[in-house]
Amino acid sequence: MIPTAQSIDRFATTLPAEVKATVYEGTKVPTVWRRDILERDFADPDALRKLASRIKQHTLDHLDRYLEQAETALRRRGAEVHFAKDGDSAKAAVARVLSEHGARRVVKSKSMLTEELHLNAYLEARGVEVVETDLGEFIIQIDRDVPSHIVKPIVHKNRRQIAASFEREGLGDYNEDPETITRRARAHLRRKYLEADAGMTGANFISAESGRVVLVTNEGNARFSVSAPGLHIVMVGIEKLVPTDRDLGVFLNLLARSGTGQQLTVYTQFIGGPRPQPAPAGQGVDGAEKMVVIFVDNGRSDILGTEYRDVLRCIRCGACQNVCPVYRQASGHAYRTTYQGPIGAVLSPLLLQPEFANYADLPKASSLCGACNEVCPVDIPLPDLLLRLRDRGFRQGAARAKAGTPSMAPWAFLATRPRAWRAAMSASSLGNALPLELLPFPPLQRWTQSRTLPEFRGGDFRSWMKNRSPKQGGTHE
Amino acid sequence: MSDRDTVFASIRSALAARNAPPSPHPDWDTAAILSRAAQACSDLESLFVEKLQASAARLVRGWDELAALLRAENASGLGFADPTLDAQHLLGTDFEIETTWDRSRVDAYAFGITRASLGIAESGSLMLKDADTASRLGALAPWVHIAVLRRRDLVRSLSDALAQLGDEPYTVWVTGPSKTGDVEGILIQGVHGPGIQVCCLVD
Repeated sequence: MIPTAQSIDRFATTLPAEVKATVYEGTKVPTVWRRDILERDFADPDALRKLASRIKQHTLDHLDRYLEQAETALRRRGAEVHFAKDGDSAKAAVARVLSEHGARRVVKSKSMLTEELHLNAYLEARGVEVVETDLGEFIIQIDRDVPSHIVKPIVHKNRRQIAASFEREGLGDYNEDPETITRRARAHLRRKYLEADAGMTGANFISAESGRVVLVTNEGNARFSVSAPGLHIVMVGIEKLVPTDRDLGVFLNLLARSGTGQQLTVYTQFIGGPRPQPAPAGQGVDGAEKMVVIFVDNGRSDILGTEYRDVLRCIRCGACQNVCPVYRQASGHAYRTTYQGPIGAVLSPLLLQPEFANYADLPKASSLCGACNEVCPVDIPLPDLLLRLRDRGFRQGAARAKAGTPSMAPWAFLATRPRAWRAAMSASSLGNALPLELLPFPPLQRWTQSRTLPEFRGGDFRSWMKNRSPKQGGTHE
Repeated sequence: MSDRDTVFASIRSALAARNAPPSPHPDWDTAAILSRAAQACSDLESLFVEKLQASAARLVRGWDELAALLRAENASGLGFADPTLDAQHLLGTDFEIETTWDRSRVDAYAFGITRASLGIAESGSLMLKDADTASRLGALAPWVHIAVLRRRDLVRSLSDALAQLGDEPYTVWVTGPSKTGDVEGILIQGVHGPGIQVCCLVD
């Protein structure tokens, strides 16, 4: 096999067949379910995602106004609101809030933002016990691994690996039955919820109008996280707003269908503030009486003013990962960043701005087939953004952007010199008689490894055109 | 400069630098997000029941059917119930009902019975508002949760349910039993929440 220079390609070639099969199945199935349920339920699913795109773009175009509105609404409902300009500031804000409340034990519901910030390691280093409660994230945590998919963090693991991890952690004898694994996690994590001082969640959406925080989950861990402990901390990116409660309907109709092929996830929570104290007559006393919302920028506002702003519409459904032929072959870890697949190839280099050159290869991990855009519930033009980022990487001279890419210089030389171009076209028919794959030119060898070239018929168009009269639109005089 | 000021200044300078005019809020019609099934439906209850069952939640009509289901599921021991529902009387003496949730005995309850605020026909979801829920944990921790829904509290669509959120600090739409597909995509019910979700439809 010819060695390749791109690190994603190299990762894909070393991926065990077992993992590759797991990832392939785990992404193919939701892709089919997504299409089926959208076509079953809507006459024009495409119109729905275009609508969602317009609402989200409008929100971003007035982000200052909506963010202020959400802040006011949340404060009015008794929540505390903080802003953090970057990751360090966000982590410090969490540590401050926890210490103000004397909170040492935190149960966490799945949040990609906190993955982006590497929050767990930061808190653990400060003596805080942090427990991930989503089953997939829990397994990631005990394995000291990182998620490989936005929605399915352990899409790269199989039940045998999980059973071994549970045994190692003292969660029972080796047992690879998924039901047993799930029951053991249920018993273990239930104690953690009840002992925790704080529950931390992300937010799928926040309605600017009402300040309502919307969370969609299937397992029920996010319900426990806001019902058992007395303090609820919400970590949310500044781009997660929608204007009104009514607008939420558009996104709730698209999010689960796009991500997992469900009409709705099992639980859709609307958290409009802390539980009033004392509880009104007839109501129970459980539920966080203190709610803190931390809005995190961490590079988002820098993207807002650029030609990449469309990427901020993303609602993190994972549909583009599921459908991407590169992601399916390479798996999420090949991307080396929190966000993977087509969305990650755009978002990660932008969010990690100062180190752009280190991630300049990610936008090249795409065949530009366009499937990611077709399935995107907010119609992000991912292939266009990938092309712009490729150009940027090239212009910045990033080695990772150039690795494994044949030079375009010979083509550019010919294409800008009509005489040379004509000569080359006439000479190209020689290719029909030559075994091109034997030429000592590695990019061509790689290309022809899995493809055959069509017969070259260059020059025919030129002479055909020449022989037509001007009346027919030809150049013959 | 505070972080708040920094974030807002950065957003405003980004928006000012933009060369395209800001896009207006699209004026959209609620019908645009109504599913085909909800558009075609003339009987909310039959759509609700169909969708509820599709979500793998169970339907019982009235308390006798509920008692039978609980016995069949071996859940006839201790249960928690909303004090306003008179569950002890309606279920009978086979069952021991507590009407105050005791979180120190969270795993002692075989089932929890609370009131549903609304049922959403379009999705088969049960809407639980804090104002109608005797205990959030009582509706979440036991293996079986029963939401008692009055027929007149059915609405057609997600949009109708969103319009009813009001000033509530906490509302959850429940669409089926707790579940996961994290392990190799295999569906397992009852992860952290109820493994059996029941809707008890009453008049």
